[in-house]
Amino acid sequence: MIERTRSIDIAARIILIVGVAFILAPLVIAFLTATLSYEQFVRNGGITLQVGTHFLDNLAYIWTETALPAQLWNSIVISTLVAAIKCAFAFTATFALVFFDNRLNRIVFGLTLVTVMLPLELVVITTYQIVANIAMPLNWILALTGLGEITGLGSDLRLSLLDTYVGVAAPIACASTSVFIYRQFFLSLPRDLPKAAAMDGAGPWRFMWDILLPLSWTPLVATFMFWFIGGWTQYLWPLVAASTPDAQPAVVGLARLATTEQDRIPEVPMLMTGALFVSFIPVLLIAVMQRQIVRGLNLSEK
Amino acid sequence: MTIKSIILPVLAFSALAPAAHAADIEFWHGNTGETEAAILAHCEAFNASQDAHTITCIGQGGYEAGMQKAIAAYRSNEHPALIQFFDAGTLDLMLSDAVLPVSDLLPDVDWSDYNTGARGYYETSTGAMFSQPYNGSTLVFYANMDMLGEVGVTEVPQTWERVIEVARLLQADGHACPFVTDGHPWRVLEQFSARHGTAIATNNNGYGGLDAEYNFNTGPVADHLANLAAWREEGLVRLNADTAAGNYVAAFNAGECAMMEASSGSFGGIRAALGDAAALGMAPMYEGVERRNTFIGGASIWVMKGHEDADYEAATAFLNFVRETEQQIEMTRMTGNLPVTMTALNELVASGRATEPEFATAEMGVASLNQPGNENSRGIRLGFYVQFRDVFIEETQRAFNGEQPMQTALDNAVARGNELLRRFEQTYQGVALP
Amino acid sequence: MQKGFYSGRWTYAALVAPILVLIFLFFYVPVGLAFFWSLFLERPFGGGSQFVGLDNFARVLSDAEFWDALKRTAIFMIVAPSLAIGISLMLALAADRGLRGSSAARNIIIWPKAVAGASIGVVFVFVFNPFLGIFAPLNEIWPGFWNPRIDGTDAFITIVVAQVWNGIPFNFIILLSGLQTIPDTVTKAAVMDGASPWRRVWDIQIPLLTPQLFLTFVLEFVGTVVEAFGLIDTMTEGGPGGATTLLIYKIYVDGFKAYDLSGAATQTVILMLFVLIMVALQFRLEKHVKYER
Repeated sequence: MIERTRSIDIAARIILIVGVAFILAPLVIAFLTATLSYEQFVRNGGITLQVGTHFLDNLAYIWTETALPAQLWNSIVISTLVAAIKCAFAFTATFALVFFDNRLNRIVFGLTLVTVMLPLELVVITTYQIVANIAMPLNWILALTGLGEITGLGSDLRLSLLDTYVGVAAPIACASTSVFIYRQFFLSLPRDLPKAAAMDGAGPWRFMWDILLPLSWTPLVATFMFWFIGGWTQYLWPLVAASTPDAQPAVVGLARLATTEQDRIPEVPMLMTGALFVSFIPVLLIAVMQRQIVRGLNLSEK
Repeated sequence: MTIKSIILPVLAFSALAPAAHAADIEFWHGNTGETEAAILAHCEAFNASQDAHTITCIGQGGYEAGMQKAIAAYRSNEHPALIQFFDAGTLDLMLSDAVLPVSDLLPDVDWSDYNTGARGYYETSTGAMFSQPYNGSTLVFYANMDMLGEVGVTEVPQTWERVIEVARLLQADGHACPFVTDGHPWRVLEQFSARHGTAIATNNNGYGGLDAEYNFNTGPVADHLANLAAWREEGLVRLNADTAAGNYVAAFNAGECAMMEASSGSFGGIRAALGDAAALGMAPMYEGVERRNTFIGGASIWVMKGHEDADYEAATAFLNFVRETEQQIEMTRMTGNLPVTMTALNELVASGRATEPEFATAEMGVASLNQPGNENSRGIRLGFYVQFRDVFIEETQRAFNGEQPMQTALDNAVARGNELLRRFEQTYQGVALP
Repeated sequence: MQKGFYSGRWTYAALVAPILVLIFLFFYVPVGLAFFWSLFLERPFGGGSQFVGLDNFARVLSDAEFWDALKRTAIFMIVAPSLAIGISLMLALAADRGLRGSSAARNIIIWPKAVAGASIGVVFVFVFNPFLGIFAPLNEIWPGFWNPRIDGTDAFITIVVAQVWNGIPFNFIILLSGLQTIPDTVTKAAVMDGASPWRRVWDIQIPLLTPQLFLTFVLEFVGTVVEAFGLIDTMTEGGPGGATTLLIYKIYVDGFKAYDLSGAATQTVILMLFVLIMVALQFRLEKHVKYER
């Protein structure tokens, strides 16, 4: 093409440089500070461009003296559960929504959509009650119908999921954003796809497994990564649902670290090291898998 | 994917939960830092001292977080046998019907051995103790004598008039932060009104009934807060936000600020930071006002309802254990919290160790708690008081920011506080104050 | 919604059951319970709850603090997503030009997605510290120039900046993928017509991005309300003087720190309705959005 693009290219380059600088600034500041010892930090009295030599010492401190390593493992398990539930459940449901002719479609879609509109954080107070005893709705049914007495179960069953991985993960996995995303993806597929499959003798299950699943691999992997990271970065719910440091994910552990020991100048280098420590896995993931994620969230694949 | 995929992990995880046996109890506490270390030491020592019971001590990261978790846990019957709550939640707990008065569980203990401040706060009108005072602290005054020495001051100020005189000297000498506070109501409202013998609410701070109303927007408290605001304008008083350290104790410890009022429980950290330069006094009075006792701060241990007898045996053993003189003194040594029984204090004094630097707060603090009291210095019996503290902080912060005059802030705080009290009254309709 | 091909009822039920059970248990029951509690005066430790009808709503709606928090929430919901989407759009348009080094830039711009609000909050507290942070030198020149611990506006700005920082990646990804799927033929045709690259941005790229802009706005709008919590809790705790107390934080404080379960549930209900109304308004736009090209 022989068109003049100089002015727009310069503008684009400036925008990108400024954007990258804005994104990197807090991370670089955190890293530089994490390389200082507490004494160096107090002496500097602020942000400096000095690169210290204490990064490994700070890291060793985090590794041996705080609960963060164990909490990192909690984060891995919880995030994996969240991502797996979100992807699998939404996939089958969206398949039904798009490829089945059922008058409940609108209702089911509406029900899942509302979970996107009303985030868990809003209802954290009552969610705690349910997770503390997930038999609660069953108890209501048993009590209301009188079945509890008939069957001898009573209406005071108890099963607490607090401090368990499932208890932390399940409410997070409720936000069915995946349905929204898969639906848009499925709607962009050729409409005749199931008909063609039917001609080859494939029923709905075969179609889902053999045709739709491979086709959807890209958005599935992308959303899995996204929900994994989404689970990792949750804060309010795990803070409430995991009452012991042993059960808390790393982000909550970091925030707790930041609020303790208020009677001296905060251990900023140690906190910055901690912030990097709890963030490196998802950041690495997003840096390496970037291409797949971007491709997968590509809403209308050609 | 079927429903199995939810249920299986659920069953797997509930199977992993440790099976409780009868004498295995939990104790939830809300401390961090040095006090947490002391509490964990108590738990370890208790477990090592006998075989019958095991106590698991779980830190909740803060008093408020611990209380909220206890509420939710109690509602779903997951609550521990013992829990540590702080002073501000006292009335909420007393009326909760979720706790057992300790004097019911341990009728043989001589509860009158607990010092006046501690008893008044946790005792009912009929003399029953609701909870066992544990990590008791009170408000004391700290001065950095190195800095005061630079302006020729060798005595710790005893009155606000003197504090400000010294602050002016320090300011003239180029000190940017003569006196520092966080403006927390525990310091500037509750402890101030207690030792000045004035009330913050009618009915003797609510001891007379649930229909109490806040009234601190006139009188000594209002004058004091107006003074604080004016002194801050002058640069004599600094708030957390004005300091580089960002926190008043940190600022004091770092040598940024010369004087402060703070909990006796902060003494451990202060001594570690400043050594002998840290001097201690009772919290300052306005001249011409008779000194009354300060309130006990910190927290006490509550026994929750709904457990097995064996659990209560374990709970009793633990409560008795931490009441032992030796354990109280260990807590004092590690943290600067006060011995809560007179026996413990007397033994500490008799042993001659009270003069050792790490015990400096003990005598001073208990003396402050044991000043002659009046009807306004017993304690606070006001509902939703935890929430009120936040209201007070929010409104006074707006005054310190210059968004509204201090008087407006106090009027607003009183009005909003009274709404809370009315709602509390409605929530506990028909429940009598014990 | 288009008409589906299959019709088996049991298969349909098996496919949608997992998600329905999940969201029933962990979403609809809690939401329902919130509605239930909003009509009762609950005692914190349970027992003795009494039906009070709409008293809780009357109390909340006559509380000036509630309206202040709602106002702050509304401002935040408008400012932060607009900035995040606007900046993301500019970055996406710039990255789409395929300049040298833009793939590295693209990679880096997405990183904040992987950093929790509460984690970056810990960092931003330090970055914006009036004595130690980036504005410390300015404070030395003009004392009191910047202090988010005292000045409510400063504090609000720090939360917005942190939120925008956190919000850029998701919007950027979606908008960039949208841009990259604009068919070359469209672009070529425009070039033939003599449309300059600047013109094409306005006349082709942005109009064709409508579905993606719609999606980002819906998600960002709701996300903002939520994600702000981690930032507020680690950065300002709602202060100073309540200047950063958004409704979500007020609900948390009322419910978890002040044991006002009924009040918190009532505000939950009101905020849910507020969000739903806003989203419903946005969804009216869906009619103008095409998913297929």
